Amino acid sequence: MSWADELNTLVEGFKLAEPLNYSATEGGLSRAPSLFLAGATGFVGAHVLAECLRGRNSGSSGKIFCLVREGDAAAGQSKLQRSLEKYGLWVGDVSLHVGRLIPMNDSIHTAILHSVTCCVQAGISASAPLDEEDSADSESEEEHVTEFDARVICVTGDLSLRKLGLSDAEYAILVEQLVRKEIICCIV
Amino acid sequence: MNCASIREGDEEQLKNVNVVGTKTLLELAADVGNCGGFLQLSSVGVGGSSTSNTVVTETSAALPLADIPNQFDQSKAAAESMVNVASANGLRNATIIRLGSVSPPVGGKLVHLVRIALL
Repeated sequence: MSWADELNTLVEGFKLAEPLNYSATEGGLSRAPSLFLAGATGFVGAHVLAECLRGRNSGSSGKIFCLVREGDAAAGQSKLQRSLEKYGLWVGDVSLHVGRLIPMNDSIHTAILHSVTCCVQAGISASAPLDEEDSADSESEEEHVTEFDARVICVTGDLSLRKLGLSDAEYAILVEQLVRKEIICCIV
Repeated sequence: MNCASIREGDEEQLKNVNVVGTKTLLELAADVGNCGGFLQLSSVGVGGSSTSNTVVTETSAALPLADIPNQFDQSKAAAESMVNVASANGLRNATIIRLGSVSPPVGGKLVHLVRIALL
Protein backbone atom coordinates (compact mmCIF):
# COMPACT_ATOMS: atom_id res chain seq x y z
CA MET A 1 0.00 0.00 0.00
CA SER A 2 1.41 3.39 -0.96
CA TRP A 3 1.60 6.17 1.59
CA ALA A 4 -1.17 8.10 -0.20
CA ASP A 5 -3.33 4.99 -0.04
CA GLU A 6 -2.58 4.77 3.65
CA LEU A 7 -3.84 8.34 4.15
CA ASN A 8 -6.92 7.58 2.08
CA THR A 9 -7.59 4.58 4.29
CA LEU A 10 -7.39 6.83 7.34
CA VAL A 11 -9.88 9.26 5.80
CA GLU A 12 -12.23 6.47 4.73
CA GLY A 13 -12.08 5.04 8.23
CA PHE A 14 -13.07 8.42 9.62
CA LYS A 15 -15.95 8.66 7.14
CA LEU A 16 -17.24 5.19 7.91
CA ALA A 17 -16.87 5.40 11.67
CA GLU A 18 -19.86 6.30 13.76
CA PRO A 19 -20.34 10.03 13.14
CA LEU A 20 -19.05 12.29 15.88
CA ASN A 21 -21.80 14.11 17.69
CA TYR A 22 -21.42 17.87 17.47
CA SER A 23 -24.77 18.76 18.99
CA ALA A 24 -24.65 21.57 21.48
CA THR A 25 -24.54 20.74 25.12
CA GLU A 26 -26.75 22.40 27.66
CA GLY A 27 -26.06 26.08 27.91
CA GLY A 28 -25.26 26.72 24.28
CA LEU A 29 -22.41 28.84 23.06
CA SER A 30 -20.50 31.14 25.30
CA ARG A 31 -20.36 34.82 24.51
CA ALA A 32 -16.65 34.76 25.15
CA PRO A 33 -15.64 31.34 23.91
CA SER A 34 -12.34 29.84 24.79
CA LEU A 35 -9.88 28.93 22.08
CA PHE A 36 -8.05 25.64 21.83
CA LEU A 37 -4.97 26.47 19.78
CA ALA A 38 -2.84 23.67 18.39
CA GLY A 39 0.54 24.71 17.09
CA ALA A 40 1.05 27.85 19.17
CA THR A 41 4.84 27.51 19.10
CA GLY A 42 4.95 27.52 15.34
CA PHE A 43 5.28 30.66 13.23
CA VAL A 44 1.60 31.00 12.41
CA GLY A 45 0.37 29.82 15.79
CA ALA A 46 2.61 32.21 17.71
CA HIS A 47 1.27 35.15 15.73
CA VAL A 48 -2.30 33.97 16.22
CA LEU A 49 -1.71 33.68 19.95
CA ALA A 50 -0.19 37.14 20.17
CA GLU A 51 -3.01 38.57 18.09
CA CYS A 52 -5.65 36.93 20.27
CA LEU A 53 -4.01 38.26 23.41
CA ARG A 54 -3.79 41.74 22.01
CA GLY A 55 -7.38 41.60 20.78
CA ARG A 56 -8.82 42.08 24.23
CA ASN A 57 -10.52 45.31 23.30
CA SER A 58 -12.05 43.87 20.14
CA GLY A 59 -14.15 41.35 21.98
CA SER A 60 -11.65 38.51 22.18
CA SER A 61 -11.83 38.13 25.90
CA GLY A 62 -12.07 34.35 26.03
CA LYS A 63 -9.57 31.93 27.32
CA ILE A 64 -6.81 30.41 25.22
CA PHE A 65 -5.80 26.76 25.70
CA CYS A 66 -2.42 25.82 24.20
CA LEU A 67 -1.37 22.23 23.70
CA VAL A 68 2.37 21.93 24.20
CA ARG A 69 4.27 18.83 23.19
CA GLU A 70 6.52 18.71 26.20
CA GLY A 71 6.84 16.34 29.12
CA ASP A 72 5.87 18.76 31.81
CA ALA A 73 4.22 22.09 32.29
CA ALA A 74 7.43 24.01 33.00
CA ALA A 75 9.07 22.78 29.82
CA GLY A 76 5.97 23.56 27.80
CA GLN A 77 5.78 27.00 29.26
CA SER A 78 9.41 27.67 28.41
CA LYS A 79 8.85 26.46 24.87
CA LEU A 80 5.93 28.80 24.43
CA GLN A 81 7.93 31.71 25.76
CA ARG A 82 10.93 30.92 23.54
CA SER A 83 8.68 30.81 20.52
CA LEU A 84 7.14 34.19 21.27
CA GLU A 85 10.60 35.64 21.87
CA LYS A 86 11.89 34.15 18.64
CA TYR A 87 9.27 35.99 16.64
CA GLY A 88 9.57 39.23 18.58
CA LEU A 89 6.16 38.81 20.15
CA TRP A 90 7.21 38.63 23.77
CA VAL A 91 7.15 42.12 25.22
CA GLY A 92 6.95 43.72 28.60
CA ASP A 93 7.81 42.30 31.95
CA VAL A 94 7.72 38.56 32.13
CA SER A 95 6.27 36.84 35.12
CA LEU A 96 5.95 33.09 34.97
CA HIS A 97 4.13 31.10 37.57
CA VAL A 98 4.64 27.42 36.99
CA GLY A 99 2.03 25.02 38.21
CA ARG A 100 -0.52 27.58 39.21
CA LEU A 101 -3.65 25.85 40.37
CA ILE A 102 -6.84 26.32 38.49
CA PRO A 103 -9.74 27.18 40.77
CA MET A 104 -12.09 24.23 40.78
CA ASN A 105 -14.69 23.01 43.18
CA ASP A 106 -13.59 19.41 43.27
CA SER A 107 -10.30 18.97 45.07
CA ILE A 108 -9.56 15.71 43.28
CA HIS A 109 -10.06 17.34 39.92
CA THR A 110 -7.83 20.15 41.01
CA ALA A 111 -5.07 17.71 41.87
CA ILE A 112 -5.31 15.96 38.52
CA LEU A 113 -5.56 19.17 36.58
CA HIS A 114 -2.53 20.50 38.37
CA SER A 115 -0.54 17.60 37.04
CA VAL A 116 -1.22 18.36 33.39
CA THR A 117 -1.61 22.09 33.11
CA CYS A 118 0.11 25.25 34.04
CA CYS A 119 -0.72 28.87 33.71
CA VAL A 120 1.45 31.08 31.58
CA GLN A 121 1.60 34.65 32.71
CA ALA A 122 3.43 36.53 30.04
CA GLY A 123 4.05 40.18 29.49
CA ILE A 124 2.40 40.22 26.12
CA SER A 125 -0.40 42.45 27.25
CA ALA A 126 1.85 45.14 28.58
CA SER A 127 1.63 47.07 25.34
CA ALA A 128 -2.09 46.55 24.89
CA PRO A 129 -4.23 49.63 25.38
CA LEU A 130 -6.28 49.67 28.51
CA ASP A 131 -9.98 50.02 28.18
CA GLU A 132 -11.81 52.66 30.12
CA GLU A 133 -12.68 50.39 32.96
CA ASP A 134 -9.10 49.35 33.40
CA SER A 135 -7.86 52.90 33.08
CA ALA A 136 -10.17 53.97 35.82
CA ASP A 137 -8.98 51.15 37.99
CA SER A 138 -6.60 52.21 40.67
CA GLU A 139 -4.75 48.91 40.46
CA SER A 140 -1.25 48.94 39.08
CA GLU A 141 -0.43 48.05 35.49
CA GLU A 142 1.36 44.99 36.80
CA GLU A 143 -1.87 43.67 38.21
CA HIS A 144 -3.65 44.44 35.00
CA VAL A 145 -1.05 42.46 33.07
CA THR A 146 -1.38 39.56 35.44
CA GLU A 147 -5.11 39.43 34.96
CA PHE A 148 -4.81 39.70 31.19
CA ASP A 149 -2.17 37.04 30.84
CA ALA A 150 -4.16 34.68 32.99
CA ARG A 151 -6.04 33.92 29.77
CA VAL A 152 -3.39 31.46 28.66
CA ILE A 153 -2.97 27.91 29.91
CA CYS A 154 -0.59 25.29 28.55
CA VAL A 155 -1.82 21.75 28.27
CA THR A 156 1.04 19.32 27.96
CA GLY A 157 0.05 16.73 25.41
CA ASP A 158 0.48 15.45 21.89
CA LEU A 159 -2.27 15.77 19.33
CA SER A 160 -1.01 12.77 17.39
CA LEU A 161 -1.93 10.56 20.33
CA ARG A 162 -5.38 9.38 21.31
CA LYS A 163 -7.02 11.96 23.54
CA LEU A 164 -3.93 14.13 23.19
CA GLY A 165 -1.92 11.60 25.16
CA LEU A 166 -3.81 12.47 28.31
CA SER A 167 -5.27 9.90 30.64
CA ASP A 168 -9.03 9.44 30.46
CA ALA A 169 -9.39 11.41 33.68
CA GLU A 170 -7.18 14.25 32.48
CA TYR A 171 -8.95 14.40 29.14
CA ALA A 172 -12.34 14.49 30.83
CA ILE A 173 -11.22 17.44 32.90
CA LEU A 174 -9.93 19.28 29.85
CA VAL A 175 -13.25 18.78 28.07
CA GLU A 176 -15.08 19.93 31.16
CA GLN A 177 -13.01 23.09 31.29
CA LEU A 178 -13.60 23.82 27.63
CA VAL A 179 -17.32 23.32 28.10
CA ARG A 180 -17.46 25.42 31.21
CA LYS A 181 -15.18 28.00 29.65
CA GLU A 182 -13.89 29.05 32.98
CA ILE A 183 -10.28 28.51 32.10
CA ILE A 184 -7.76 29.84 29.66
CA CYS A 185 -5.72 27.53 27.43
CA CYS A 186 -3.26 27.55 24.52
CA ILE A 187 -1.89 24.70 22.38
CA VAL A 188 1.70 24.61 21.22
CA MET B 1 -7.85 26.22 15.78
CA ASN B 2 -5.35 23.83 14.30
CA CYS B 3 -2.05 25.53 13.49
CA ALA B 4 -0.14 22.39 14.39
CA SER B 5 1.64 21.02 11.40
CA ILE B 6 4.99 19.74 10.26
CA ARG B 7 6.33 20.23 6.78
CA GLU B 8 9.56 18.30 7.09
CA GLY B 9 9.60 14.78 8.40
CA ASP B 10 9.22 11.17 7.46
CA GLU B 11 5.95 9.68 6.33
CA GLU B 12 5.00 8.53 9.80
CA GLN B 13 5.55 11.96 11.31
CA LEU B 14 3.60 13.71 8.56
CA LYS B 15 0.73 11.27 8.98
CA ASN B 16 0.65 11.42 12.77
CA VAL B 17 0.84 15.19 13.20
CA ASN B 18 -0.99 16.48 10.14
CA VAL B 19 -3.68 13.83 9.69
CA VAL B 20 -4.12 11.90 12.92
CA GLY B 21 -3.60 15.14 14.84
CA THR B 22 -6.48 16.77 12.98
CA LYS B 23 -8.67 13.76 13.75
CA THR B 24 -7.77 14.07 17.45
CA LEU B 25 -8.84 17.71 17.48
CA LEU B 26 -12.08 16.96 15.64
CA GLU B 27 -12.82 14.36 18.30
CA LEU B 28 -12.06 16.91 21.02
CA ALA B 29 -14.44 19.37 19.34
CA ALA B 30 -17.16 16.70 19.43
CA ASP B 31 -16.43 15.83 23.04
CA VAL B 32 -16.70 19.49 24.03
CA GLY B 33 -20.14 19.45 22.46
CA ASN B 34 -20.77 23.14 21.96
CA CYS B 35 -17.76 23.93 19.84
CA GLY B 36 -18.57 27.16 18.06
CA GLY B 37 -16.14 26.68 15.21
CA PHE B 38 -13.15 24.79 13.92
CA LEU B 39 -10.41 26.54 11.99
CA GLN B 40 -8.03 24.33 10.05
CA LEU B 41 -4.89 25.70 8.48
CA SER B 42 -4.13 23.96 5.21
CA SER B 43 -2.01 24.52 2.14
CA VAL B 44 -2.62 25.89 -1.34
CA GLY B 45 -0.72 22.83 -2.48
CA VAL B 46 -3.84 20.67 -2.08
CA GLY B 47 -4.89 22.19 -5.38
CA GLY B 48 -1.88 20.73 -7.12
CA SER B 49 1.34 22.05 -8.53
CA SER B 50 1.76 25.77 -9.21
CA THR B 51 2.91 24.85 -12.71
CA SER B 52 -0.22 22.90 -13.62
CA ASN B 53 -1.85 25.93 -15.28
CA THR B 54 -5.16 25.31 -13.55
CA VAL B 55 -7.18 27.96 -11.79
CA VAL B 56 -7.80 27.22 -8.12
CA THR B 57 -10.37 29.24 -6.19
CA GLU B 58 -11.61 29.23 -2.61
CA THR B 59 -14.28 26.73 -3.53
CA SER B 60 -12.05 24.34 -5.43
CA ALA B 61 -11.96 20.88 -3.92
CA ALA B 62 -8.63 19.39 -3.00
CA LEU B 63 -7.22 17.08 -5.64
CA PRO B 64 -7.16 13.32 -5.08
CA LEU B 65 -4.07 12.49 -3.06
CA ALA B 66 -2.48 10.62 -5.94
CA ASP B 67 -2.56 13.81 -8.03
CA ILE B 68 -0.85 15.95 -5.39
CA PRO B 69 2.89 16.10 -5.98
CA ASN B 70 4.30 16.14 -2.46
CA GLN B 71 3.62 14.36 0.77
CA PHE B 72 3.10 17.45 2.91
CA ASP B 73 0.26 18.63 0.68
CA GLN B 74 -1.11 15.11 0.51
CA SER B 75 -1.30 15.05 4.30
CA LYS B 76 -3.02 18.44 4.39
CA ALA B 77 -5.55 17.28 1.79
CA ALA B 78 -6.31 14.19 3.85
CA ALA B 79 -6.78 16.41 6.91
CA GLU B 80 -9.13 18.66 4.92
CA SER B 81 -11.23 15.62 4.04
CA MET B 82 -11.65 14.81 7.71
CA VAL B 83 -12.71 18.37 8.51
CA ASN B 84 -15.23 18.22 5.68
CA VAL B 85 -16.63 14.95 7.01
CA ALA B 86 -16.99 16.47 10.47
CA SER B 87 -18.65 19.54 8.96
CA ALA B 88 -21.16 17.31 7.18
CA ASN B 89 -21.79 15.62 10.53
CA GLY B 90 -22.71 18.88 12.20
CA LEU B 91 -19.46 20.57 13.23
CA ARG B 92 -20.34 24.26 13.18
CA ASN B 93 -18.35 26.89 11.32
CA ALA B 94 -15.71 24.53 10.04
CA THR B 95 -13.32 26.72 8.08
CA ILE B 96 -10.24 25.80 6.11
CA ILE B 97 -7.62 28.39 5.26
CA ARG B 98 -5.17 27.34 2.57
CA LEU B 99 -1.98 29.25 3.15
CA GLY B 100 0.68 29.71 0.54
CA SER B 101 4.27 30.43 1.41
CA VAL B 102 4.42 31.90 4.89
CA SER B 103 7.15 34.41 5.63
CA PRO B 104 8.08 36.70 8.50
CA PRO B 105 5.77 39.67 9.05
CA VAL B 106 5.56 42.12 6.18
CA GLY B 107 2.80 44.41 7.38
CA GLY B 108 0.72 41.93 9.33
CA LYS B 109 -1.12 40.50 6.36
CA LEU B 110 -1.16 37.02 7.78
CA VAL B 111 -2.55 38.14 11.10
CA HIS B 112 -5.15 40.17 9.27
CA LEU B 113 -6.20 37.09 7.35
CA VAL B 114 -6.59 35.09 10.52
CA ARG B 115 -8.51 37.91 12.18
CA ILE B 116 -11.00 37.89 9.35
CA ALA B 117 -11.44 34.15 9.73
CA LEU B 118 -12.12 34.49 13.44
CA LEU B 119 -14.90 37.01 12.97
